[in-house]
Amino acid sequence: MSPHGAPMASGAWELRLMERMRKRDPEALGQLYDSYAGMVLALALRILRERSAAEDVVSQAFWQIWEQAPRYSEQRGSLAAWIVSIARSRALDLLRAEQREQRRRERAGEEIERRAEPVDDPAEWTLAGERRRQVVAALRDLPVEQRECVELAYYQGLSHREIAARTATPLGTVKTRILLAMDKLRDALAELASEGSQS
Amino acid sequence: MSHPAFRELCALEAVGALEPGERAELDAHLEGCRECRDYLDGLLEVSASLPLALRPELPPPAIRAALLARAAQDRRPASSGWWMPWVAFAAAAGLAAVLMLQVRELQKELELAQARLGEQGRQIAQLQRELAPIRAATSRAIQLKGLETVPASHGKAIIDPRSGQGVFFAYQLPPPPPGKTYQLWALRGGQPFDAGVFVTDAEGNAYLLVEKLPPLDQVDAVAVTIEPEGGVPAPTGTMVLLGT
Repeated sequence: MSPHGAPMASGAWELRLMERMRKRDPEALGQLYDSYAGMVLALALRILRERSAAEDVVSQAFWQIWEQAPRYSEQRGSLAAWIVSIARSRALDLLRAEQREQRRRERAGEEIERRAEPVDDPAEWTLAGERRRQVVAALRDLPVEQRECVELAYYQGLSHREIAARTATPLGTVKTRILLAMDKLRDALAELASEGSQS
Repeated sequence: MSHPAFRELCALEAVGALEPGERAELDAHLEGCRECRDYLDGLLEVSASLPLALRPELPPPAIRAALLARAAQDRRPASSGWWMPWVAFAAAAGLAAVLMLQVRELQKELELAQARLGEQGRQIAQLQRELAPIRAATSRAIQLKGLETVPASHGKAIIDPRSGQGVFFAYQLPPPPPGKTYQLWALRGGQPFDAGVFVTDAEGNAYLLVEKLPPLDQVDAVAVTIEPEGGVPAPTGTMVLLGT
């Protein structure tokens, strides 16, 4: 699967790529990088909001992917999910270690904030692909407060207690919002994937 | 915790919002709940899709070049899996445990064999000592007869006067009086030489290995007397056996 393909499952191309990675073929790493580096950097940038640190995450994440390729098993999830998981962990580790969050919040610029928002330019869609449009649409359909809870957890690494404190919302409400949001996203993505496969 | 509550934990886990204590609780539940495992797997794929909504950012070409150059120089053999070292460790630990048990068993067997060997060595040495006077050309065999008090008793002695060694057997001797013991004497020219004290078994039989006689040119007679416990340097009590 390419990162913009659908659904989130490892295709034969990716499995062959991982097999070459296990055999220490640097070209395979290059192809994997070409497919996912853009998303990994966007993710790191969304979490860290600092370009140089986000680029460090790209280097670290792909090296970790190279080193841990033999560990990857498609039985434990898609390749995309594995790569995203590694990249997110590295970025969140960096975020926590350097405690950039507070400083960044204090000086967060509009430009960076705008960049962090989901893509809403239709012109971008033609470049991003079907799967990306699905995710953007599914997120957009979420109530704002639900989307906020999901993004604070996913991109800021906050626990539900921290989200409740940050948003001054009852703990139970935060939990419910996240549950509802994830169920809606799952249903929306499954439905769109199903429509896509029929078309 | 109810089943819907675990679905809530699954949703929190999928976006990384669980508290540490809750993860342990969820893990325990997932061990036995296939439905929740499948549910969580589905949500993890959903959360992994979230970055797709972000506008891709193009990293500097230098990152790719450096990464591939580093990978090209990485000549380490590919690991066959994260579990391999643990499997190897577990196998080695298991093997070590088995070997330790075997070593302990072998040590026990060795100690037992050594004890048996030691005992056999002592028995062989005893037999050699017993055989020595019997085989010696200068040995003399003497039959002993019971005297007045113990007419049914008798014995025999084989003594080598030159080496001072010998063996003695007594038969059907009554137990000595309390505080008394039997003592064997070798007589040379009417002079008694202490050949040792002995006790009888329940049937009145006795055996004595004679080792401490001084070298004698000849043994004229062998006698047994009743003496105070521990024996005496020269006979003082009643003679019960005599052989010439």
